[in-house]
Amino acid sequence: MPNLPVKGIVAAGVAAIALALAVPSSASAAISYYNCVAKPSGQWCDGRANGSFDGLDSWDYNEGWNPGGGSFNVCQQVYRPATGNSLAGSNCGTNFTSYYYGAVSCVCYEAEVKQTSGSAQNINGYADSDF
Amino acid sequence: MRAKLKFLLAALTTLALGVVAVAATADEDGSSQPPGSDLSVATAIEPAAAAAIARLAEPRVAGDELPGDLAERAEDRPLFGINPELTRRAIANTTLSLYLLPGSGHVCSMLTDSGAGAALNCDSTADVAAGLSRPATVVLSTGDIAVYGLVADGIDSVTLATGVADTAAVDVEGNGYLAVVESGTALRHVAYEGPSGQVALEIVDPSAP
Repeated sequence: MPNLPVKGIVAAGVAAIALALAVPSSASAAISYYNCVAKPSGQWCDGRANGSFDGLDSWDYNEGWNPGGGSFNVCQQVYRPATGNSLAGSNCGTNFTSYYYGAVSCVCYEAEVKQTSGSAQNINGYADSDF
Repeated sequence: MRAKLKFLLAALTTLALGVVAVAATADEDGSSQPPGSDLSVATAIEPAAAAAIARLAEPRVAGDELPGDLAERAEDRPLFGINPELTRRAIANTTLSLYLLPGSGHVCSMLTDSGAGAALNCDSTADVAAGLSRPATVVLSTGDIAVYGLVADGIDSVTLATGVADTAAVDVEGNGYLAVVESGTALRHVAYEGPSGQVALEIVDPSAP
């Protein structure tokens, strides 16, 4: 019996850690940094290759940028794998581009970026569903 | 004994909070901050921007404000030092408006689409002044493609090149230009005679798979 409080406290501590480990999955659903290294030109990057993919969410803001030197076009899209369609708002610009989507309710979209330099380049992205 | 237990619980709680903090701020690589994220928010339109872009030197009036919650959203992520309280609207039609968003050493353009959202692109003020600001493209809620951009004073028209050899003159309004083409149109470049001479700036189809 004297051990019960000890076990309870330890269990509470373990539960706190378990909760902490669980929280990032929901936190990362709201904010996502992702990137691809040496991504071929014209191929969409969602971060899967290096573990920065944050899964499907109701992304309502997405941006892409050139993290290095030089200058090239980058594009972004919010893509629904189940249908193969993107939300209106896919856009492109030089070195940086972003789009503020309206209300996105379906938790079913990937945030993706690509570059169109003609050669492999690093490319980074950020998406959130804060609003 | 109780003191040890309290210490253990405190340590576990600290560890848990640390895990949350690290996970919430995790960067997958060291360069994941976007360009312009370290710039201070502009408190006024910079003289260099006003000198190159006359629209920015004009008084701000009703209609120059960003619609809906876009100002709040831009404030929430003020890349390039953009300040939504300094915006000017360059072009407005029934569903599309092109706004200028001054920042720190940069001027951004925001094209709003009443049926979808808003696209944001940015250039250095130096590039705009030199006539080297590059065009941007976006898929509209209609499915069409908008081609738009910023130009310095003295440029009244740009040429949009599409298809194999098609060209169209696009008037500049408020230091901005905007053209809408049907989805599937082959996009080539935007050309104009600017401070750096004749330029032909590549445009990319944002609907390409």
